[in-house]
Amino acid sequence: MKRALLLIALLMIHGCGGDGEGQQRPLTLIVPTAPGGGTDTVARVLATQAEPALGAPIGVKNLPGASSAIGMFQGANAPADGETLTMVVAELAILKSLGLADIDHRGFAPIMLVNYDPAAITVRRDAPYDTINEFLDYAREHPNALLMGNSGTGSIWHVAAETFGHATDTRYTHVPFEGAAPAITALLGGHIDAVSVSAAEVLPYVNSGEFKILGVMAAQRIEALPEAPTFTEAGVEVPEFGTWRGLVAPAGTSQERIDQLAAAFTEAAQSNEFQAFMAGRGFGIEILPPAGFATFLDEQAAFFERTLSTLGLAP
Amino acid sequence: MNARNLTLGTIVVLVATAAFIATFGFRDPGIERTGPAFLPRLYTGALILLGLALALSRRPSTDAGGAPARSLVGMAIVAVYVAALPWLGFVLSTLLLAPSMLAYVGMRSPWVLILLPLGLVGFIQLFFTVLLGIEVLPGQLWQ
Amino acid sequence: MLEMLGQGLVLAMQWQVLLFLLLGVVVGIIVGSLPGLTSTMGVALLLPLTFAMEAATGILFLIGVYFGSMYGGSVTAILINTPGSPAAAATVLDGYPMTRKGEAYKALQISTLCSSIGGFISVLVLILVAPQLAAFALRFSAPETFALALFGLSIISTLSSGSMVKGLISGFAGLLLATIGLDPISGITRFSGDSLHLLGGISFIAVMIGLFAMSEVFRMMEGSSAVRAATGQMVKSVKDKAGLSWKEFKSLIVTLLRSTGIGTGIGMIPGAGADVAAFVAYNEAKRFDKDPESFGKGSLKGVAAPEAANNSLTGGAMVPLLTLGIPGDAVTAVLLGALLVQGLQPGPMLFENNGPLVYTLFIGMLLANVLIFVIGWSCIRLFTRILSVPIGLMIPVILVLCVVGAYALNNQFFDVIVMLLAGMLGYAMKRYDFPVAPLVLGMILGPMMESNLRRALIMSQGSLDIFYTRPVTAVLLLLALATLLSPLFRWLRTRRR
Repeated sequence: MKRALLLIALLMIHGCGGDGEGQQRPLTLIVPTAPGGGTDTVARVLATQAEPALGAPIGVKNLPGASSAIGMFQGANAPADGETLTMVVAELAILKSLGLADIDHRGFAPIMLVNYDPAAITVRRDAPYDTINEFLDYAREHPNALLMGNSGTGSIWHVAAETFGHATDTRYTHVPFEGAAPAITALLGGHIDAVSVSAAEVLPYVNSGEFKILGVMAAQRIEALPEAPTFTEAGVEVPEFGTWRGLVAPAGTSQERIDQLAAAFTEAAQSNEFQAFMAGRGFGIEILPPAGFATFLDEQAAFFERTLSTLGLAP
Repeated sequence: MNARNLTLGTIVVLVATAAFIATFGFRDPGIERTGPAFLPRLYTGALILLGLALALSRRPSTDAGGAPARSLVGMAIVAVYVAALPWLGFVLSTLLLAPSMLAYVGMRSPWVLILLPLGLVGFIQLFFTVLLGIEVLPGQLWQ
Repeated sequence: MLEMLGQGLVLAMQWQVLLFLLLGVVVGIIVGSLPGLTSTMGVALLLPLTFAMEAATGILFLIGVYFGSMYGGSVTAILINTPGSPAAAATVLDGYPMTRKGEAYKALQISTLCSSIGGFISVLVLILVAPQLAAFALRFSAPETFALALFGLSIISTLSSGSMVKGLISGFAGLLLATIGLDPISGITRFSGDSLHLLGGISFIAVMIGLFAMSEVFRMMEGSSAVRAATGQMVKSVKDKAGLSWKEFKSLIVTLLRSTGIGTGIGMIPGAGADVAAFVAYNEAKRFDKDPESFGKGSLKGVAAPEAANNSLTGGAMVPLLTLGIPGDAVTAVLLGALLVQGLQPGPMLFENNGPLVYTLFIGMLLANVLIFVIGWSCIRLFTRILSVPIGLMIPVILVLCVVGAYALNNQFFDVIVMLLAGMLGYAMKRYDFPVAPLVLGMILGPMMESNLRRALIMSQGSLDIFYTRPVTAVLLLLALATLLSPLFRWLRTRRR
């Protein structure tokens, strides 16, 4: 309790901009989503843990809107002095291929991949199919009859559902919602038959016994849900597919600064607080250093460009 | 028919028609049932009809009265203030705007001209920046 | 249950819980009263502070902010014609006319009373029947939400007290403005050209601040010859002594209860927020009144209805959040995050696993509404002092708060420009007698109506059956039709005489 009061007092002091000895200039971390959501809380918890290692306060700045395009665009156009960082999300690999915004990973210098959550096909507990093969059999007999909820046309989970349908040669009626949460609510109410959002997002309902996961679009089972099978286990060939979050700086930031930031944030990601927070929310921690993250971003961009044109979603 | 209704109605019809034409430029995604242009066309169509109804209405139009010239000057001052924000930043612009606005509307007391802007900026800094952690409009010249 | 409530009461009576609840309510009232700072933003921005607190303390602090901000919006709405948050947009309609009649004191008394009583009752409903109601909330899907939005939009026909044509123009303009940007159903962009900012759409809150508050600033300048501004006041007189009489309060009880029911009900429905609840309650108050013509001219019921509705929404919104773990709107989504950070998983298991804590929260919520009453009631006199401030001083203050509020929405300068343009538009609309409320209502409900209509048609594979085979949908659609046609009936009735 005293800590909370102290925290407020501390916040007052550091908000007033009193630069202590040896303190560096404050950093800004742009979050392209609204405050309070998953990406925002991940960014805030990580930033708090990284402050001691960096020796500088980090201010989180939410710039939501336009499928995260606005925040990421401003992050890419910030001065490349290593003082403005951006929490990028999977939309970075999709926006350009959809023809929505002229922005891709080449505008950034990667620092660290933070998190990766695979997509999953989730149905209600009382659904008549218990395995992915029973589900696929039903879908083959009734093309377009199953209602598959996603987080908006052109969003990552819509692409996931289309990819799944394409790979398994089945057809669904895709129902777009304004985000993953309303789609989950609709499944809870029995208004749709399945959702294609991430396993992390349905985790609470799987644990409480309302939903069952038929298959995860990943090579291995995920830590938070060891009982959920992967597609590969069931002998269904579906590409690995998931959403991710990572830290980047504007392109052109010096390599020295990138390495310094990467070291500090890697330390932060290993802290007990961050690990416990991620485990509690069911988010998968997936740390990649700058070089590995750069390769990952290249692969993702190529994957989505190919996938979107195969699916006919690119203009 | 009266002139004011005719003008207002015509403006509505023109704007709505422009928007109606713009709906034909929407890309057709061809993947869902009701198109993205369906409701915008309904809205603009309704606006065109309503605009025509207004233009032809004989109902006497009321006017709030007052002197719009003073408001127009006020709008210009506010526009200059808003335009200055990205360069001067919130604090500096406000310390310049508030006294000029006060002077424009007839405040002459030097205490008011100095203390009110300072108090206002102080409150906003305290509440927004310190408590809520929102950095209010940093400028390029001065943050 | 009584035993659990007793336990909760003991736990809630710790000094730090009470202190932070009080702090939350005070901060909430300020957040709510400032244009641009919404409940969601206040709760979200203060969320990190609670990470280090104990569960009950931290969550009740945020709940204090949430509840307080619902009430706070009414203060500026009544006194300076500026809704501090979208939830208070409907309060302006009769709150400000009351102030102009010199009844600001009474209007604030009504809003304080109705906010706290409405909120209190809705929390009681939450405590007593939450699990049963949760099942009802889940029955709402796309067709029901579409019907609710259409019903909300039909209110435009009753909001247009002057010229119906002008009211409808304003409403359709709002609907059209709301279509700008990325369409979530088809994934394509509309009316946005190459602008990244327009891709994200136009923030209705920025438009609301401009239409209501900024336009008012421009209008104040109009009247202000140099001499009048320095000495003149916002309104000519404040009948300080003329408080709310018992008789007047009795006449409000039915409205208060009906609006509380509407607010609690809409709160439970995923996707509909306090702004919708307030407008619907206002409309129903007007529909059931013997003298609907008095609305918009400073009717006491016109203040009581939206204020009871927006605060009673809070208890309703907690129903799906706590019993199912479903956030119905943006604020409850943030609260869900706060619960998860504290290691609490809302849902059916919450009551079993964390019974004492849940009841502590319940007691805290009841207390928050009592605090709103105590703080609000004791500050009414202080609030009305705003009215004796010379216009000249108010102009720069409101103006700067509008600018800061619009910026704070998304940290975007673009929103400031939208706000300014909306201010100019609002000034012109007020001057030429176009009502501004329908435009705001259109922007709030337009996206809700459109995406749910199209989603419903996707879900039904294009069949229209979905709109009349589902009972809730059919009833709401009939209500919408009745409201739309009510001006016509009234016209026919007067014609026959």
